[in-house]
Amino acid sequence: MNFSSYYAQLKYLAPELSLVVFSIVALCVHMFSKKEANKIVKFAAITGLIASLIILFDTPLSNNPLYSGSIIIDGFSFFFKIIFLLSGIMTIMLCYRFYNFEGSEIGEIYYLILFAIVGMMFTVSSVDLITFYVSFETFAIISYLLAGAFKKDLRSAEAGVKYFILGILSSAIMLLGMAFVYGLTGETNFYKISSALPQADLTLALVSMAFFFVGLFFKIALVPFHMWTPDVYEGTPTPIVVLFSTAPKAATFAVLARLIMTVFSGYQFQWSIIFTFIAVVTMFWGNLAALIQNNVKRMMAFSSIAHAGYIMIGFAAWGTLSITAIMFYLIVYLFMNTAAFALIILVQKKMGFGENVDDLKGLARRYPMVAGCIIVVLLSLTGMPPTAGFIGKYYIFTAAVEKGFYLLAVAGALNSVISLFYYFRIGKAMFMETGTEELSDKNISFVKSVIVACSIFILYAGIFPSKLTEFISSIAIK
Amino acid sequence: MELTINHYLVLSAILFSIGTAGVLIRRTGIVILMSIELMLNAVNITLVAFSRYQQQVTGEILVFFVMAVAAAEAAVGLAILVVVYHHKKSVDVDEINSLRR
Repeated sequence: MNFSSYYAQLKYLAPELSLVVFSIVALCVHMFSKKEANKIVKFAAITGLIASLIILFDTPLSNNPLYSGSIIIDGFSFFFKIIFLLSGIMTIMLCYRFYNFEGSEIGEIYYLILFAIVGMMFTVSSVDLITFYVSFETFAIISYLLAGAFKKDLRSAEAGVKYFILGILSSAIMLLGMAFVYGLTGETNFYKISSALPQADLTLALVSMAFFFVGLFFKIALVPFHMWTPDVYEGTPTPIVVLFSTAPKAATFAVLARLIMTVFSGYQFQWSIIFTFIAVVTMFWGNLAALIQNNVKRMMAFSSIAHAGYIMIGFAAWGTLSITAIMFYLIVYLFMNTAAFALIILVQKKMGFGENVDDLKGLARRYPMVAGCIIVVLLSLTGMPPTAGFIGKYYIFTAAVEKGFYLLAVAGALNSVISLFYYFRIGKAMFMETGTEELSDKNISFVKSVIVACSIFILYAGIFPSKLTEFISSIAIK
Repeated sequence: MELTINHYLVLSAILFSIGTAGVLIRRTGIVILMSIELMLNAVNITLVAFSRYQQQVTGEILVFFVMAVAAAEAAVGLAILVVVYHHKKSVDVDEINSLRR
């Protein structure tokens, strides 16, 4: 391959490259100017994300790997890039209010968010161990920084330390798994490994697969590796949690899908058992632990663990139907989770205040429209019709039943019932109880618009799911 | 005695285990960072050994990237520990427990 073909292939990477340009511009502005520049940095970051989203829709797709077989720009990665960019846009919109009342705004976080999203975009496109490792670590390392970004609060620094130590421990174990995969096959390309790995020793292949999955399961926060989630979600600045709970998880699920389609495709029996077990444990653990939480952020942390468990049902019952179900669920989950955390930002006054369920009391009287939208979001998180959350769960359970995983579908339905109790506590506090405290009404228009937009999407995708489903199944990984 | 790939793998397994034990047992943030560096370097030995065994350089190229990532991780980790030190005047991870359990 010569240089001219490398240049010709650059057009496939246009969204990532434009995002890199914007983040470097934001970085330079922040570095060479005084404090007032934060507005420009923020503006550059959000413009970059929107520009990248527009360019993404104009970028051609190719089902052949590019750059000597290290990157693939297919419909599957296209879909996930939409999720990351939307998540980034909503995160920065929520930052507006958060830093307005918290003060001490740090311009770094805006271009760090952009760099993290570039990392995720390359991660979902990578089909080579080296590309995958570098891009995965790009967003992983930036997320440790983002967790500790709110320097004046000890809890943010603490979240950063906890996330950092556990994160690099799990990624070192994942790297060992990658080294074994490479040693067994002598290849780094996913497709070549896929054909070479079945000739290798079965035990060693399974050990390397287990090591590999540790790093991924940690990022998704599945149960044996979920310890960091509640603490990190509680300590991290709330807008950053919006990013943490959606984009890196979606990226890791996408990588997991790609890996079980290529590298570990010969071991479906074994990983199906692992995924079944983990799905059940994760769902029950997440939902039961969420029942006893009083802090809404911690409650949502356990809720996000439980949702990862529902998605793992789709991975256990892997097939064409479950890929569509997983992708549908992930985009719906993005909007549900963003709206739930936007609610926390709306009532939050200082770090550590306004995070308890009691602080939501009487919200319906002050913001009737927001409270109504949040009810839609809560119904969707529980999985009740006519919302998109119901359709997502319906697809996932159908996929499980189709493959004969009846008990898994029953466990999932049972967990939806359990989750009703703690989501209902939020609704009850908003509508049935009265609060006395007044909220400051400054700069909530962005938060409001995020909540309203999310609930409109949830309702639309819940009542007319067929368009979204058709779109997803047309671009899903084959 | 001739050195085979097994010797290198055993060496790297021992180093990796020492690193893991260090992360789990030691309570000082700095030592935990060092232990993790040890784990990553153990993986590097594995990669170089496999690369030599397979008669190619791909694994060795991956090692360079791992080194770069390890350097980035050390920089970020030390930065976070400095922030914690400003609050607590200590980098003992057992004392970092203000978040509810």
